[in-house]
Amino acid sequence: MTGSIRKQIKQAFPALVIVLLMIIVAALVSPSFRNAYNLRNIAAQVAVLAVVAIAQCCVLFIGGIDMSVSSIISISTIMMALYSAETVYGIIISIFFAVGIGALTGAVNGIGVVKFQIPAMIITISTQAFLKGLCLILMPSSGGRVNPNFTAFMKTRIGILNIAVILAILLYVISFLVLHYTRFGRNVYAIGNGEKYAEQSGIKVKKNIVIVYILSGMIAAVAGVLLSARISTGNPLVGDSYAMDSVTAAVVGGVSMNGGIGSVIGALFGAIILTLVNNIMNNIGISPYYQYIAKGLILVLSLMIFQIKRKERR
Amino acid sequence: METKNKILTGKNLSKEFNGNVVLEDVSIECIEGTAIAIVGENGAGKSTLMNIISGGLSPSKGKIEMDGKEVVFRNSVAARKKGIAFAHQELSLMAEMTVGENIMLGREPMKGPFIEQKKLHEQAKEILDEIGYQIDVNRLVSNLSPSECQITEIAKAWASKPRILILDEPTSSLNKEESEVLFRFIRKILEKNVCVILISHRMDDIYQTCTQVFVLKDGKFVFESPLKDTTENMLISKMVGRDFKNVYPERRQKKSEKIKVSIRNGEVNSRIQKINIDIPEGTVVGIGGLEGQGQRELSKALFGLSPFTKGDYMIDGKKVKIHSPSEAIKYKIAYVPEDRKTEGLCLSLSVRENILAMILGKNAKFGFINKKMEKQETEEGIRQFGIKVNHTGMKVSHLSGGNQQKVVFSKWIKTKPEILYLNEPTRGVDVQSKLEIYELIRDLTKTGVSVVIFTSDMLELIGLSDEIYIMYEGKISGHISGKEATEERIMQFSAKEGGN
Repeated sequence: MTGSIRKQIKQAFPALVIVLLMIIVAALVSPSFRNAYNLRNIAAQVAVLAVVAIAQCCVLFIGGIDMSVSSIISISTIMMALYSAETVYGIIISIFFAVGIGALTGAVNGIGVVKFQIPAMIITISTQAFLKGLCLILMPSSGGRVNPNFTAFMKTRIGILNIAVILAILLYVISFLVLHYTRFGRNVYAIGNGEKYAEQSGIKVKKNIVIVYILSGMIAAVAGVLLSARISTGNPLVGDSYAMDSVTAAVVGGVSMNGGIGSVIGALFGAIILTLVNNIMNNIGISPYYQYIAKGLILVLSLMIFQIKRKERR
Repeated sequence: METKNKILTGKNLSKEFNGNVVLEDVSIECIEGTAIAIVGENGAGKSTLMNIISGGLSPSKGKIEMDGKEVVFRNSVAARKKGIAFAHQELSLMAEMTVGENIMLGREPMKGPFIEQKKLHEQAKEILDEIGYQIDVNRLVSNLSPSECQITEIAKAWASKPRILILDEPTSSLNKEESEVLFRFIRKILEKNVCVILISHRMDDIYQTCTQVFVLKDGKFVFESPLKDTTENMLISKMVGRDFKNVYPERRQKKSEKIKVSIRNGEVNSRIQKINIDIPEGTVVGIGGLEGQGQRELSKALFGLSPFTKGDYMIDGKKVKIHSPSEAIKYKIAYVPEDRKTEGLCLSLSVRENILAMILGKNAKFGFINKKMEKQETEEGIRQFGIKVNHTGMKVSHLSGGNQQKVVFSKWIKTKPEILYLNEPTRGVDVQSKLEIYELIRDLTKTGVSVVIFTSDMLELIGLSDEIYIMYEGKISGHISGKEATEERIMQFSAKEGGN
């Protein structure tokens, strides 16, 4: 681990400590937490959020944000529910549709940001709204059926982990290598450090930004496909919470909202923290409404802590 | 004898921005193994010329030839591919990356799809070694000192092994030893037939390294000579030598006795230090110097935008604390900012709304705007300043630069200030409006207003001010009266601490 990579990974350290503390405390306090079924359940929940967090991370690294991931996830589950039944071809085609819609949405977001100078927050909320409308037209309420062979396959266990979790881990390995060890990744961090300087240093800033948004849309779609295997149906609203949760996961994991700082590893820990918070609160029977308050507090606090720390450095 | 080839020729280059000519019919030849010095005052067009040569700007007129063939650079990336590298004065480094990653950005050593981090840092170290500096290439740029950042920027430019290396004020944060190292490096690469273009306000830099000198003035080359045939004073007089036109209103005859504002040992986070100035009542105090010597910090501290961190701020002999613009306004201070488009005006609002921006609250009844008063005040403002408008509801974005600036003035004068801080008040303003603004400033001082004017225009500084302070590297390097001031004296103070 050389160069700035070490520094970027260090940002994830506080989140790692919190993850370990939470697991130790929860394991001591609650016997139902230790139970293997619950642990597998947590892993499956983490998998989806963790994959969306990769998408969100890439966009945050360049100093943007992607709120459209939520609707992309919903529409992916709908694609799976509508077209994946029957055959293997159905699965392939519906995945192709889902990822295609993700890529297209990402392209619109990216072009909106670089060509039309629309703030990332605004353009991605707009595409989010558009897609949500599309979801509700296609499937006004939860329904359809995801190909049972597909759901069974994703739930197949190899060792202690199921295929969906293994896929998520694989995506992490790939994104880690791409972001830290390829020229594209280097360009992403450079753009986050300062677009003007990146341009002066010979990086095609606009092209790279569009690519990042397209990737974000595609990865979010993959998360939606993973989610569809878990819920077995299509649902127009199921993705809603993921936009905010993915931002929270990234920020808790030390990713800066101003771009250029952080690592996907941190986002993974962030996703684990959020899922554990949900899981623990469910286990002790706290109403979901309070869980929103908890998540909001976590986001506000970690934003404050990291922003202060980074301001002092300058 | 070996023959030296021309690498690049700029022919009759001109550049204008919205009708403002900043570079006019300039021709330059870059020959292998020569070091060219470009000198001139602020705004003479040095950066514009360098940006054209390095692909950052395209010329309005004229052409660039490389190795005898005409070339058009679409952007700086294209120019770099042709072997032209620019080490910017305003550094272009990534704070969260290491020194090595910055130096090698865009030319990382690859193994398949992956960057070889270790090799990258070794190569970066080799480049620094070649130049002659020791910096740990694994350190993050955000932890570097200003001089180390500057060195990294130079190494980044040299990493592409350019044929033409442009250095813009490369020594501005280097100490003497570090500068010497750079000069040795420049002499070394000259032997390898690289062409170096050096922009510097330090005469010492130029005489240490260069062979040819060009003096830019008002966008034109006014002087060109082998450096050995020149002297320091000769270059300074070429840089400033122009006639004073009788455009400035008469100065005040008698020195004012009463001191309105005085700053003692003012300091802002060590960006500016030991600031001691006295601003007498009814007087124009000019603050000058080369660009980026702390003038901006001082003006912001005076108005409370980024307040003094140490020292005393006294108004009428009493210590005051000014930590925000709203506190400054309470002490009857007005501030005309440097960039009227982003800081001085609400461009999308009307002339009326802008003029009344500072006093709306005062004329309101139960929170409602008094329409009659509004009309009166606006018309008075327009008349007083001779602002050319079709109607008061016109958007300020449709006005010319000069008229926009008058709206800014009018807006502040409505607050009836006793102290007026002006930041580059005539930048981008046409000549006629300039003269009117000068008259206006003088008229205000006659009513007892103290005016401080921050300007990079030397003529304006000398012509308008009763007293002049010159800044150099965050400190006051000279204080002279407006009558005694000459451009030569100010240049001397501007380029050397203490002056002599």
